[in-house]
Order: sequence, then C-alpha cells, then structure tokens
Amino acid sequence: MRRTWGAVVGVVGLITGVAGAFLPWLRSGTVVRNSYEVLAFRGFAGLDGTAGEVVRGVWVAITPLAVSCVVLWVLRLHRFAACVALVFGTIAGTVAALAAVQGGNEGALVGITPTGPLVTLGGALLGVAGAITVLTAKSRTVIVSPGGAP
Amino acid sequence: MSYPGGGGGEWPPQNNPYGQPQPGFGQQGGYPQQPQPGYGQQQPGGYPQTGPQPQQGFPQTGPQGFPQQGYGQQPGYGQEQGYGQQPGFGGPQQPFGQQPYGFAGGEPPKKKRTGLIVTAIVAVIALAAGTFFTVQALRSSDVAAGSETPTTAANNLLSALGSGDVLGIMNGLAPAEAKLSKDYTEATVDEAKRLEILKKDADPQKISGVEIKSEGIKFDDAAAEKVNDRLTINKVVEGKITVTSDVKKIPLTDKLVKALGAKLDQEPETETLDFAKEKDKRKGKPIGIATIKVGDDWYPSLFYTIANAYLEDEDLKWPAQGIKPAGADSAEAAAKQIVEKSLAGDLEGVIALLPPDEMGVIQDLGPVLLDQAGRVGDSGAKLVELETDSKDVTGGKQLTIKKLVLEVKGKKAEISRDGDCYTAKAPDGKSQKICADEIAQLVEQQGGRDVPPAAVDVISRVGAQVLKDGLGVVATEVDGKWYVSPIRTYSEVVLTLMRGLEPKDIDELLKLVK
Repeated sequence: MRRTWGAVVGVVGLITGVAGAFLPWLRSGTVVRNSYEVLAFRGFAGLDGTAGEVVRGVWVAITPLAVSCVVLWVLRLHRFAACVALVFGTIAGTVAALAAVQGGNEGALVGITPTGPLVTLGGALLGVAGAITVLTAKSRTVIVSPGGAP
Repeated sequence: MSYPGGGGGEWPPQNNPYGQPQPGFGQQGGYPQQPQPGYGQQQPGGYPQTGPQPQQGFPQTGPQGFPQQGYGQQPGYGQEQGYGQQPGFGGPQQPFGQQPYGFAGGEPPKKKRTGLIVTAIVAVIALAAGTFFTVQALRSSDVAAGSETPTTAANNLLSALGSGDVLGIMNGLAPAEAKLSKDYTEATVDEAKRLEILKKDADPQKISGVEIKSEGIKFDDAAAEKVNDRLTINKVVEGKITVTSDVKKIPLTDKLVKALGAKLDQEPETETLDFAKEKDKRKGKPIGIATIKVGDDWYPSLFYTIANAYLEDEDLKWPAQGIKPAGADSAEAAAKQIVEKSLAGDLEGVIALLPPDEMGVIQDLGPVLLDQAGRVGDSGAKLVELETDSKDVTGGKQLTIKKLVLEVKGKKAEISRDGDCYTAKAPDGKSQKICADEIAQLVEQQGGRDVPPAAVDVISRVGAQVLKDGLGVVATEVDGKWYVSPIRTYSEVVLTLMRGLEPKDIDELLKLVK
C-alpha cells in the first residue's frame, strides 16, 4: 500500500514538474517565456557551443525522463521508476530552485517569473518524496505454504 | 519455500488444512487466491492440496484469478497443461473432463485483462504525451532564427519593441549586430559596476528605466523596396511607438542617486513616434525598416535601417553594387593593410577590409560614401614597418603597436613600445620616451598649477592605463579571412579608458557636477 501511494505521489510530482517547465519562467517586457523558450537565449548567458547544447540536452531530457519513469511505474517496476524519479527530481529541482531564488526583479525589463520554477520545484520535491517512499517500502508479503515439502 | 512440480503423486492428506479430500489437481500452496472453479465438483479425484485452499470445493462463478494460461507460464507449479500430462492424473489428454483448464461454468477473467489493457493504454498515452512535449521542448529551445520573409522579420522586431521584449529584440536582430551589442553591453556594464556607477547586482540583461510600447503597426507590403537579394526595406505606414524613460528605475548606486538628487526627481519622459505623421512630414515617404538575409533567414537590421534613413534624408538611392569585402590572411596582415591603405588614401580598400558581417552596410553603401567623400589624397607617408602585439579580446584579436616605422618625404619616423614605455623618434632624429609612471609629472608640467590635483590624478591614471594596455585595432575573422572592426576597436578604446578610472574618480566628477 505504501509503495502504491509512493508511486502515485511520484507520478503526480513528475507530471507537475514537467508541466512547470512549460509555465512562465522569464519575463521580458510584457512577454513571458517558458523554460524551453528561455533556453533559446542561452547564448546571451554565455552558453554558446557545446556547453549550451549540453545544458539544452539535459533540460529537454527531463520530459522523456519523467515519461519513462511513469511508464516504469505503470509496468510495476517500482524500484527502477523510483531511481529515475530521483534523477528527475535532482535535475529539475536544482534548476528550478536556482531560478526561483533569482525571482523578483520588479521594474526590470527582464526578470524571472516564479510561476514555472516554483511549480517545477514542487513537482520535483513530490517526485523525490514518492521515490523515497517506494524505495523504503517493504517488499510485498508472500504467503508461504505451511505445509512444507510433500 | 519450494513448490512441488506437476510430478503427480499423492500428497499426504494432513497437508490439507480442511481435512477433506481435495478434488483439485495438484494445487499448490501459496496460491489460495487463485481459484480453480469447479474443480471440486466436477473432478473428483484424489489429489490433496498442500496448502491452504479456502475456496476449494466451491464452484467458482466469477472471473476470478488470473487466466489459466498464467499458471502455465509458471513452471514448477504443477498446473496448466501439466494437469493432463502428469502421470496418475487420469490421462494425458483431457484429465479434467470438458474443461481442461478448470473454469467450469465460469466466465473468462475479464477483470485482469481489463487491467492489462488499461496499463497498456496508460503507457501508450504517457509515451505519446512525452514525445509530443519533448518535440515541443526541442523546438522551443532551439536558438531562435530569423524569419521567412522580410515583412515578418520587421514585424517581429516592432512587436518585440512594442512589448518591451528586450530579449526578443536582441535575438531578432541581425546576428552580427546582436553579438556586437551583447559583447560590449556586458563589458561596459561590468566596468560601470566596478566604478560604482551601477549597483553591483545590475544585470545587463535586466535593463530598467525604459518602457516601450507599440500599437497598430502596419506595413505596406506593396511599397516594400527590394534593394537586392539580401536587402529589403519594409515601409511602416501606420502605428505608434511610445518610449517612456524613467531615470529613477536605472540601477544607479546610492551615492550617484544622492549626487544627482533633483535631477532624478523628474517625472518619466515620454516620446511617441507616430508613423503616419512621420510619413506626412517626409512628404509621403514612410519610415523604412531594413531587413537583411543571413543564411536562409531574414533579420531586421539596425545599421541598415540607419543607413536607409541617411539615404532618404540625402535623397540618395542604394547603389546597385557595393564594395566587395577583401580580408587578409591574418590579423596582423589586416592591421598592416588598413594602415597602408589609410596612408595611401585608398578609401575603397579600407572599406573592403571591414568585416562583412558587422560592417556589410558600409560595403553596400560604399559607392555612395566614396562619391560623398570625393577624392581622398595620398598622405605622402608610407608604412615601412609594423610590428604588433596581439591579445585576444571579445570577438577577435586586439593588435597594439610594438614598432611602427613610417617614411614621410624620404625621412623615417618611428614609434616603438617597450613594456609600458613608448619611444617616439621624429624624422629629424629627435627622440622622446614616456613611460606610464611619468604621465602625472607630464600633466603637471603641461597643465601647470591650474590643474586640480584630482584631475592630475585621473589623467595620469588613465594615461598610464593606455600606455600599459596599448591602443590598437581589433581584427575579427569572418569565413577564414581577417578584417578590422571599427566598432570593436572603438569599444576597446572606451573600455581601456574606463579601466584606467577608479571609483574615487567618479566621486571627483560628481563633485564637479555639483
């Protein structure tokens, strides 16, 4: 039961985390952009070339990572799923937390919009919580024959 | 635990917790939840169960348990086909009468199959959604390119302007122009922070104090002027752009705010550009937004827009043919060539040595500029020798003079550098040496006692910085050839001067302002 609840919390966290990545992360004037649209401006942050592509690849990978995790859970491969959820939570949570603490910049033409980072951070935390619950849950009890060998 | 296989043989009756003969077929312990409907009724036999069999002996009617095939996939459990194949179970083919799998009168196990289907559907939906969102993420995160048409490019720029979208403006501009702006905005803001003009947390990407709005922008597509295959001037015929600047929102340091005092208390200033009115003022000529083609995409260009405005003001046309860029094989060679061509008054050669990405506009305007400049005479000086020191700077290499020898009317003049000391030898043989630490003394000598000590301090420090860093040109590489960038050269000079200043110099300047 505990494992099931862990899986449910984890799946909700993963979906929330991915949804957050598509919510507003950056405001430029009156235009808001999600985390992926922000990545298109990575050159302005000095992330040109390979470094930029690596950052982009890792962040884009969080969606397939979350999906693979959900599929593993659906297939009842709980422990595998929990491990993937931990990776997801670590990446998404770290990035979202860094962005969230940069929030504010009121009056500036360009600034962080906390909506996306906070939702992703919440999702990442739920994902990690679900994963830990699954990993620490006891294995299902197997009813053993009281009879023994014939 | 171990599960007896389907080897048949009778099991000790005491293994039956119910104390009665089991009509089953070698059911094993550990699977009490998996019913065997009807076994008890239809197949009287003598195969006692070895484990708890709470449901045995009662006909099962519902779709309970896993499909029988499932048992068959669990070797060693003594079920499935083994029922009939187990010696002593009454025959190899149909040992259990009409229902070899034991669902006597029961329905197929729909419930579990439904679960499987639901699982599959959820997995497929998750994968499909994941693929969709991943593709969206990949598309969104791709570095934004230009637009497919000139009008779209111009429209995007004005939309970005109208919504104050600084990032959109920077990203939408012609790549070389955007890079120039980015490179030197950052460096200048960093220096302004060091000099305590801007707050330490001021971010060049987060400029504040300016608000831009646009409304009702309309282009006249039919009037668009296609100058050549890679330059189109889009005409804006309607709409307004309003710029509101508020000095109070600039992230100035507290000391600067205090020093400027009343000047910062003024209300925000607003200026509006009405395209329709401008068109009337310009005798029916609408304002043009120039777009250029880079690769396969169109980008709005600030430089070309300014150049177009200049041509319109002067009632001139874009030349049909520009000046072809002609780069050098190395940064040093580019620097040498530009000095030679400048001394020779070869303006066309100088323009050809400008970077075609940043200064393509000058090359496209070239013939007009040459015409406007008229004949530029030879200076009479010739470059005899040029040695340079090279230093990597943002976007290229800065080349500073190490040794420069010119021949003027048959006599040689020379400037050479040794560390932070420069030595100049005039054609008449006189020479003078000056070092960075002698600048203050020189200023005092030249300026006398009228120059305030603070000013002497500032001038000497900036002068020393110039001698130390050296002044030179910045060369950039485009498509394997080297060119001299005037904007980068100028920006590096400004930065060199700023680097010579210290925060206390700004305080002195503020005192003068007061």
